[in-house]
Amino acid sequence: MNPEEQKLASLAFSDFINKKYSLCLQHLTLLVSIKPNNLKILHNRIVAELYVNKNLDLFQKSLTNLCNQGRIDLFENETPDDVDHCIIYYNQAVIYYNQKQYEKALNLLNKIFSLIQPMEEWLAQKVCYLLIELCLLCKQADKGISNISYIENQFLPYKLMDETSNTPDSILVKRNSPSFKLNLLHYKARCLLHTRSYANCRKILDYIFSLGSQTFSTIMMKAQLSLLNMQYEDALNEIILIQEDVDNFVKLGDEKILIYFNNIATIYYYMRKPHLSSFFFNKAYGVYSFPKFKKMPKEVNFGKPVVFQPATFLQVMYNKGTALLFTMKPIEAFDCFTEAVQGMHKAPLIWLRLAECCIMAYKKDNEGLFNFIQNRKLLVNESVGSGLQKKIVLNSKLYKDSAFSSDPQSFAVPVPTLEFATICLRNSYVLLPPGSNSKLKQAVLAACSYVHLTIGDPLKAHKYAAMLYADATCHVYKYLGKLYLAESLVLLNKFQEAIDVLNPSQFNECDPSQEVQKHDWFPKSQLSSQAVLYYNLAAVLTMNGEIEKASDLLKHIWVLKGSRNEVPVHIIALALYIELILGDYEIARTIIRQNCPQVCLLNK
Amino acid sequence: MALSIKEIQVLLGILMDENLENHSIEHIISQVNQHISKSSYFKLGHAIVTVIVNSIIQKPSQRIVALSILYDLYKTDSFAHNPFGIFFIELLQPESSRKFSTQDVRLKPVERSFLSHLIASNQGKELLKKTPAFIIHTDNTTIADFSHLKHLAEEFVSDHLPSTRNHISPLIPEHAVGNQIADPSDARKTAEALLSDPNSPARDTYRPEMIRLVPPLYFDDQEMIWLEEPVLNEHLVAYDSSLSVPHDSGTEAKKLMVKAYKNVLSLQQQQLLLTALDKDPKLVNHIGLTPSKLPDLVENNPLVAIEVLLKLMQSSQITEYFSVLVNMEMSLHSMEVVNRLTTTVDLPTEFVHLYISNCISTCETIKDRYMQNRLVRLVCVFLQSLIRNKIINVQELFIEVQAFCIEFSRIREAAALFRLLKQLETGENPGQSLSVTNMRS
Repeated sequence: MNPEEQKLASLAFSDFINKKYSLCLQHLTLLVSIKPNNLKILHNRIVAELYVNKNLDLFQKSLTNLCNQGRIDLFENETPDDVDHCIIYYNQAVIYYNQKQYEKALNLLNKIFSLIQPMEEWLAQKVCYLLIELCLLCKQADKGISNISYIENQFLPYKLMDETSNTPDSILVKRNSPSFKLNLLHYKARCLLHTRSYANCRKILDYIFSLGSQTFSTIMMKAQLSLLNMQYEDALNEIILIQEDVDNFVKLGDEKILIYFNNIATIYYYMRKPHLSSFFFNKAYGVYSFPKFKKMPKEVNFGKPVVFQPATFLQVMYNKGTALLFTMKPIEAFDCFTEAVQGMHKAPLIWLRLAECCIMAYKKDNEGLFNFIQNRKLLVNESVGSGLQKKIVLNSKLYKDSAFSSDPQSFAVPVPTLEFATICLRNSYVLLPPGSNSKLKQAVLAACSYVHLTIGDPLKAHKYAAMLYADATCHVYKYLGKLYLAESLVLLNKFQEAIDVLNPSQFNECDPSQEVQKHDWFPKSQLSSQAVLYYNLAAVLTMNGEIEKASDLLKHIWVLKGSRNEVPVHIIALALYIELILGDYEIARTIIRQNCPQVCLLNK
Repeated sequence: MALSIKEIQVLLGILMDENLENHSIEHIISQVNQHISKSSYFKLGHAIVTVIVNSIIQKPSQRIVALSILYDLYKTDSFAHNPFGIFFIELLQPESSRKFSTQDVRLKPVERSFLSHLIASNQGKELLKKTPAFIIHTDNTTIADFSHLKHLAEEFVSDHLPSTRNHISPLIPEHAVGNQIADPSDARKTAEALLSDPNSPARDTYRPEMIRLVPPLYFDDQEMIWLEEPVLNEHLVAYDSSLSVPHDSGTEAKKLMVKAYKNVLSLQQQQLLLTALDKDPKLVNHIGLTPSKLPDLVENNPLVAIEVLLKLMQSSQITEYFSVLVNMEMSLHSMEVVNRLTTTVDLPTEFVHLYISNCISTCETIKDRYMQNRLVRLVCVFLQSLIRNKIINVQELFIEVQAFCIEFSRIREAAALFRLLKQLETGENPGQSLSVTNMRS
């Protein structure tokens, strides 16, 4: 190029740097008219065009044309012959990155990665950043780490950023990214976090903090690291720093604020503070309804990753649903999950969560069962009739625990019913990784058994309960498997098998009381869970006509209970029943008199 | 499921009529049929069972009439299909062996006798023509054989799920049933309450059921989705800035370096690269050379390697370069580079010693005889040069070098080196001998 042309090129570049893209385009168009075959000029012109019209599709077309013109085949399996072509590879990768075609972008960048050394430094750095970003996005964090080592090996020995140099490259580098080394460290920390090298990750983060170079993103990483190490208090203390600086918090921008609220809510969730958690998820969700995001321009942001993507919205919805579920708000949680499932329908857990909402909407929990003193007055409903003809009415609803439906409505409609739960659980079960016997699988089987028992499908209930009983490794699921399996066997007329399953001598193998200490689940105490097991056995024995054994078992529970009251009142109801079929109304009346003071018994 | 109020009034009116025992049973049944349509028969039957089971009617005459009405409802059907068949059979059992809510119904022997004949013998029809008073008065206690009916009724219920056979009435008399007869108005009120309420407890059942626990909410340590902010906020389409800067010898030099790792540079290229490096003394730091790449450069372009290393002498990296150099695979080129360096700059002695040891052990371990001879010659010449230039003090390596010479004494240069060592030992001037050796190599 002659000095005239050189001047035009410099002008265009300085326009570009100063974001005067139209002017830049004018200069380049002029330059093209002088030198119509210069690939670099043509390339820069289409880049300038992109920055003017922000049309990524058009840019893709122009870039393809440029490649054809320059006989550059980006999809050859080799690295480009001419290191000057690397920028075209890079820009194509940026297009793919924007289109979320991360694998494709990564393949392309891998081809030019070996050329980062001869590449101009500013470009080499961009290539490195995007390459590692893509490794993270493609879940190849270990590859990311080895790439970073390679980059360090290539660049860092001569202290890229520390030396003053007056070459034009370095000026550019200094202007665009003040610290290549630091950015690499940030990336390294992220990669190590993703590969679960927590100790190494912490070292790097500590180093970054010691340099005073922490950013929002590294503070988040540190909190995440503590979270992953289950140091929830630490995580909270680390993350809350961000909000303490109130003035700057407001200036963070909505994307970071969204991230902050979501993440602090996550920490609270693990600290088992679901109400606080759901409060902050609500705030995170609220960020979406900020007016400006409703009016977000449709233009392509060519290169800037947007947190406000539909997928992120669904993730926040999912989190919020989980927190709501744990605050016992199944209907609200259900709405969140039905929204979130649209983007996460391949995750078995979200289907289980939906089913859990349905179950909770049907029956909140078991807690009510285990208050003997409160419940005993429920044994009797009322009385009917008058004079000597007066009758005491026993409460048969004490047992009511079924939701048989004859509703012709399709089960597939997402409403929080147990019928819909069967579909959710079916999905969840099918999506579980084959052959696994995870806690998740046990939870799914337990829910399947419960739901099918409750809607009156003992065959399916039996199928799932048998699997659960056979494979459960968690005590609580073994325990539930026992109960569900026995109940399904009873419904299938297999009393003896049910009696065998409920064998009380094996209680220690399935005592759930240890496991459920941290959970909001009842029965909590060993006495309570044992009482349920014994009671159910007594009920089956009664149905099977083994009245005497049943009576003995009830007495045994009564002895175990002592003065503690966390046992179901059903044991009295069953004792009453036994007296009634034995024809002993007098004892029955005595039991009622003892337990139900509201029934005023005139006689005696 | 409930009878209408009118129907209830009809039924209770009949059963509680003080003159009941003086009408023929047939007559009473026809009265019932007049007022209650066939579609209400099952409800009527259920109402009758309710008043019997709950002892609302207690007089034998009332029960005889009630049972007769009940039997009449389904008399045209086979007994096996009579929904109340099992009820009749139950009542015919002794009280102690009855089950499920009928224990309180204490039939007199004459009532049992009547019921058995009603359902099981051909006297039934005749009996209906009598009045209840007459039947009671006969005090007949004969029991007709109803065993075939019992069998049929039991077969009928055997289809039911065992779990449904356990149902009993949820009603318990608040007062023990003694011999007292309840006040008729109490009985009527109680009956009306039990029969008219659509959700009457009389239609409910009480039964043993198992407790079904709601499973716990699943809890996962990794479940919540943590949002991550990208480390960098943007990856933008790039502008090619190389266009805008004047021709840059640095970039050219860098490109040549990339080639220099892979191929031998042409003389012209070599000249270009070395000139660029000479022009900008700092350029050497920016051409992408790292210690790990040095061996490739040495093998392909030893001259470039020498120049670059000389320029890097002040760099903090230089010991790393040396370390790579002395540890790399021994070759003519590496030896050339080391030799040149030893004559130009002061190399740390330990590096030179290390290099020599490396050379010697390479010679000893190499398998290829021809290559071995070649390498041994090279090493010998190299050592002689080092000794002549006083780069090394031979005393420090004497034993090692001597052993080397003896091992390869078949090779002429090794023998020459050995003689040189001997001369040095005896203090002779080695100069002449060396020049001879040099000429031969």
